[in-house]
Amino acid sequence: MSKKAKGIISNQLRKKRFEKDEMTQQELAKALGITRQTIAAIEAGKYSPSLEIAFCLTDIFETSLDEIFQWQSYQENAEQTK
Amino acid sequence: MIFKNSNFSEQAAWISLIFTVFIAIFYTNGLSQLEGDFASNAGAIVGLWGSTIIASIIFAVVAFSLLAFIRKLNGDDEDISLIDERDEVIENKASTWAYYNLSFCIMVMIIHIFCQGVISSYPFFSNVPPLDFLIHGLMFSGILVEFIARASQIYHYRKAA
Repeated sequence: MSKKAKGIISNQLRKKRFEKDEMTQQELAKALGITRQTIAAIEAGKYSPSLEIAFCLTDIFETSLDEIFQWQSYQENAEQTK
Repeated sequence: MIFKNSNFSEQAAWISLIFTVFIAIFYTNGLSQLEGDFASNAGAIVGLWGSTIIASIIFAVVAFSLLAFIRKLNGDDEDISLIDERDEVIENKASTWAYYNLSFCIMVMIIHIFCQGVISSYPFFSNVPPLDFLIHGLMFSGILVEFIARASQIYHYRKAA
């Protein structure tokens, strides 16, 4: 992948959790079979999960992938700031 | 506390990090008390290895029992998964650093032994026979590799905590 294509992945995981009966990080971690610390890292935008985890999240929250994760390339960012 | 908000892999990495420091001190202390070299006093060096292995096992049993107790106290023992994909990604990064370090250490040892045999006034470790240098060098390389792997693992966990 070229450097130009790189960008930031943001997510609405925290919001989705609260919308789903204020689900805790621990409950979500249990549902996904991963650790709570990984959920915290994903929410903080410090770790990008695998596609498997991402699709499991769409199943749990009954939503589409792009409603949970958003991609913004640096190029797009630069154009917006112009 | 270092174990707060950390998962099992990070806690295990902290234990391994402390373990490498403990073993390095233990082995250096034993090495300083050794008399003669491997050719003349092999039994003493084998004895040092034996005591190092026993000390390692005791340390590991005590440290991991303590960790299990702390995890039970904090309620972390209810975690369904101890290791997940993020742990594997971080471990892979740490292994890469460890591999580079191991390669570097082996290269340094080979170059040292070569120079010791070729250069007559070679200044480094001139009183240590090549076989002894290799044996102890491999031991310290192993400790250093483990230290770097675990330190790198902890760095990545802290960076993305």
